[in-house]
Amino acid sequence: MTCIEANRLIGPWLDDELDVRLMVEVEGHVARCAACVRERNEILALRETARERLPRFDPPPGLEQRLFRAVRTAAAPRPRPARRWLREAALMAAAACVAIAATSSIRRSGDPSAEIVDAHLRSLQPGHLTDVVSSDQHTVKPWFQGRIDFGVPVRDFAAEGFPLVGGRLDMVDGRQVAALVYGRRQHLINVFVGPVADRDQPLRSSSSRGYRVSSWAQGGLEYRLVTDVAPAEADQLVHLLRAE
Amino acid sequence: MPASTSLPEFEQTLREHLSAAHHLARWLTRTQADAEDVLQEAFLRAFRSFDRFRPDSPRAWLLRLVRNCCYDLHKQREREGEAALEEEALPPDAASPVLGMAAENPERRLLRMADARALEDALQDLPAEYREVFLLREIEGLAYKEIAEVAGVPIGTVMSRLSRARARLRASIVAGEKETA
Repeated sequence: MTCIEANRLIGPWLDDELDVRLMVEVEGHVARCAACVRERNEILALRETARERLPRFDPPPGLEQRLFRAVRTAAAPRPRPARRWLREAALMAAAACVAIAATSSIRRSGDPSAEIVDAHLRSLQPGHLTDVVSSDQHTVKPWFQGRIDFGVPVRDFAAEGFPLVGGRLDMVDGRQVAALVYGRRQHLINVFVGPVADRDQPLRSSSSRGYRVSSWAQGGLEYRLVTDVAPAEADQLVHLLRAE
Repeated sequence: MPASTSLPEFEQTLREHLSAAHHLARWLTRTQADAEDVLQEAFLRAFRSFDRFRPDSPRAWLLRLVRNCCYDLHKQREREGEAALEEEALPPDAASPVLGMAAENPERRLLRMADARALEDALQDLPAEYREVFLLREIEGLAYKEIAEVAGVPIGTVMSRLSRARARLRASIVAGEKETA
């Protein structure tokens, strides 16, 4: 083994990364070579200095709790305080009515809105509406952050008459999307948000089985809003969502 | 989806490696606040993928997430930061944390301080790709294979980066000693 070959292997040797054959060769060379002894000593001195004297940044007290709290918020997002109970009961009652309407409706094949309306109806079945129940956008947004790879703009429009009810994950057209749920008096509005590769798309609205579907794309996200509220009111929320 | 993830199991895994994760984050970011942001993001990503991966080496897996989050933060800062830096030169950071030292004779203590400071400065001056490899090897004691996993590069690249990191650190410490001598 030449000195150049050995020199290159001193690091891996000291790191215990050589097989036995090479290890023996390197050791044999170092025993006879002053330059390689110096190389070895310097690497060991650097290691010792690093291990013993570099500042060791230990986690500050409370960090562990803070981190796990964030994970738990993302993991177990079904806060059910008592005061929410009434609202949930009302939602479930509304949902039951819609579910009956849904089963009696006739699926029209070839309707591009059919899938999204199905997703809307599915969400209204008991227990399906929201995975995270909150009117607080600062609760809903981080909940999504733990679950999907794209950012979802979450805003509450309670002041404008469209309170944020919560959010959930859903599948539409075989793709995972975020669903935001807004309330409008006793009605519900689903806004499905998913990533889209295309450029911005202008607003298009259609109607399917009595539900209004509005879709558009902006900022790399595709939005599809479904509801049975009056078209003028649906457009009002569309306008709020589209405003940057 | 992480629906079936056992939270206690997940927390136990991460708790074991929190110290290494924090240390790496602290060395790859500028401030404690950045390090904590990075850790929170890494923990969330970890939770999201815990079920799917069931990592062979949880430590390497978590450190990889932490490392990637640090790089993401750097990229984000670069995008946002250029304009901000032009507006106003930032004041230099306060001195880095004083090293915890046991009582010993003053000359020896000074020598150690000088060594440690020189190494710390040299390490901060290294490109992040070299710094992380050196820290993962010498401080965390990871094998080359694990470092390759964390950094997402082949083992040969780990070897050459580590070798260059060591050479550069030694060179800058020697240069520093000459300056002060």
